[in-house]
Amino acid sequence: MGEKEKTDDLDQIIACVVDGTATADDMAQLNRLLDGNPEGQRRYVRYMDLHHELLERSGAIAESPAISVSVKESKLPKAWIALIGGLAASLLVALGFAISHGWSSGEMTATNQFDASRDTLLVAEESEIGVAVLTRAVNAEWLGEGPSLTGHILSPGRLQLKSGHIEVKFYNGVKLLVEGPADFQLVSVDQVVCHEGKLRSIVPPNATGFSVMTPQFELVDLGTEFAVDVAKNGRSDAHVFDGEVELYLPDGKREPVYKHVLYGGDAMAWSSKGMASEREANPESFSSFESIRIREQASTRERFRNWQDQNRDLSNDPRVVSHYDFQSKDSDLLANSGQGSDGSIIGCEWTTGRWAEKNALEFKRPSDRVRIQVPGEFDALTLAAWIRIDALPRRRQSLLLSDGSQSGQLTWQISPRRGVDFSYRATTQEEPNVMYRSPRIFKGSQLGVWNFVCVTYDRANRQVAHWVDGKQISTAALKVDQPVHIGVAEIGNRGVTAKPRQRSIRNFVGRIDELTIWDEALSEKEIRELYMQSLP
Amino acid sequence: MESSVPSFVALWTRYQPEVRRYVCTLVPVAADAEDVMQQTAARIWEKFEQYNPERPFVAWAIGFAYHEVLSSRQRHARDRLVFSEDMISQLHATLTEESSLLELRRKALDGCLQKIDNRGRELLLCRYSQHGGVQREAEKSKTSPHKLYYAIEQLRSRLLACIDNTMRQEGWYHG
Repeated sequence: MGEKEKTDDLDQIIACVVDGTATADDMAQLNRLLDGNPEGQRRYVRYMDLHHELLERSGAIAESPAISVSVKESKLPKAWIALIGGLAASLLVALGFAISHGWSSGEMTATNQFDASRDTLLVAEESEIGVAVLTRAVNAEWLGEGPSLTGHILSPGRLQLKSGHIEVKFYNGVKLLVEGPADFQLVSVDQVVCHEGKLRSIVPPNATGFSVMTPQFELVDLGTEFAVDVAKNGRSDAHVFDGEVELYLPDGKREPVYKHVLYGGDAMAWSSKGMASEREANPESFSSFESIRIREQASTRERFRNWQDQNRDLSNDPRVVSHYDFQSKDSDLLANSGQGSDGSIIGCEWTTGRWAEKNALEFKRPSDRVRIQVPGEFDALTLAAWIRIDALPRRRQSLLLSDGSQSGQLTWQISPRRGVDFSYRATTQEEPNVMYRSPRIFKGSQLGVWNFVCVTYDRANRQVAHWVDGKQISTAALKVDQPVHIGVAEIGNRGVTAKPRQRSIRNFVGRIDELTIWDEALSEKEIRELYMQSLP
Repeated sequence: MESSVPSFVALWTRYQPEVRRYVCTLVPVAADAEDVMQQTAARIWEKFEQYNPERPFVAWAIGFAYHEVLSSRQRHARDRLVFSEDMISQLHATLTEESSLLELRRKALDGCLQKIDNRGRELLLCRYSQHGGVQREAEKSKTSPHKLYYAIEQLRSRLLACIDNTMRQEGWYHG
């Protein structure tokens, strides 16, 4: 590991510490990195001092509560003037407000203010905690960010489904079917707010009390199957197909005076003005769980066929240098339909890939690896793989790593900070290892989910870009402009050295079911299409 | 007589930011550091009679703070993010060596902040001046907080590099 890399790793951990996202493991690693390392300690001390100087200049560090000196002035701290410099006036106004608000508020004690600046950061991290899993998705399109692949963990928050259907299973067993267009909010394992759209739900006996809040009513389930339909203008229906539900005013108080009970076969309809009238339940107006299951099977089959078509196209694409489709289940050889030879499988077991019909290799033990050889030197390159990460240990995980360390040899790895790093050896002495890091990509909630990762190297346009699931995550200008090559390399591990010596473990933990290398930097459109034509 | 001796309140008000920087470096969890600060203030208040005004207050206060950091570590060792006892003593030594240079580094920060573009400064302001600022900024600009935190991390690293550079140019560091 070079000095630069070491400092970067250290900076990353310190950043976790100051941003409140560090875990006990991070802290242990920081301890290890700093122990007996004066250079590292100085770096840490300087980093922390900078952090505190920034905090102090912002006025976020409060006076000590031991002698509560109250700060009443609501002016911009002087020291920030250097920082604000040429900022837009509008921001200044907004900021002035925020600071004066924070400083002049009588109730906000000094301690609170200090802690608050960190606690929110902790909350930001922990809000990843899920309440449900996406179990099916049929042609689901979202407004903004939304889960697309089954297995995605859903956190509390608002989701806007433009079209299509999704099925969600809450951790308490409640099944929810949402028909787009729908605008809804997962609040907790036992509450959903529906602003608009059609929801259908099956609540198992042990999860009674599940509630759906709509603009017109709150529905509390007593173990049953029901549906609600909320139109944009506020007109709303509640239908009970089986069992029993209670309806209340939508104020969250559940006052018994306003309770109304509906039984199986009953429905209630509200006009946009809030006039309620009883109806008969109409199951036909909602999609059933069974119909979604069948449609999903059909669309899964279709997507697998799409992939098969794409796979054939790739075999004929002259730009493809190597293409491993992980489909022929040979125990020793990984078939390559591009130039170069097949890969040798060492360890790794065959398992299921993106679809039941698709094969994948499972990388689990530190010895698991596929050795490949990719001839040639490249001025442009695209590496793309479908991977399913099963663990995110605090170390690097190799996706593709060249053996040896000659100039131009490259590495493509998942970083300890959960992003993707691409690097190559340079001829220059100043920066022997040229590294391009993506921001953090993978969350704990994405474990066990298939992701399409891609990196493009492009000398003509002088840039390196990281892509995930068809979207560009980051780009960087070329730091050292030179050809790269792969040569003898490993998928999912780091190469063997001629002389046995102690080296850190880099093995990938998860599944890979496709890996392709092009001698061209694919365009945004091509990468997007590749993803769309091969997503599970 | 009393007026010639600086009062505890005056000294503590003036120097506690220094002590706080020290404590926060050894105790990275904010709530724990705050605890240590309170304990330290209480201890200094108790022992204030023994303070010799001819000695630097910060060095004297840090003696108490160091002791409180170690005892806080023992209280929280099992369930918190803490440095090992040995690490605390190593860092204490490094901090003591570095303290005079840190002051100069803070001065160098002025110039380095000027070199950050508007977007970068805006982000730093979000992170450092507003409660939940990064979260709000992420919502506003429809991006993930992770990305912003990553950008902030990069900004800090750039600032550090710039400060290192300034210090080197001014002849404080060699090599």
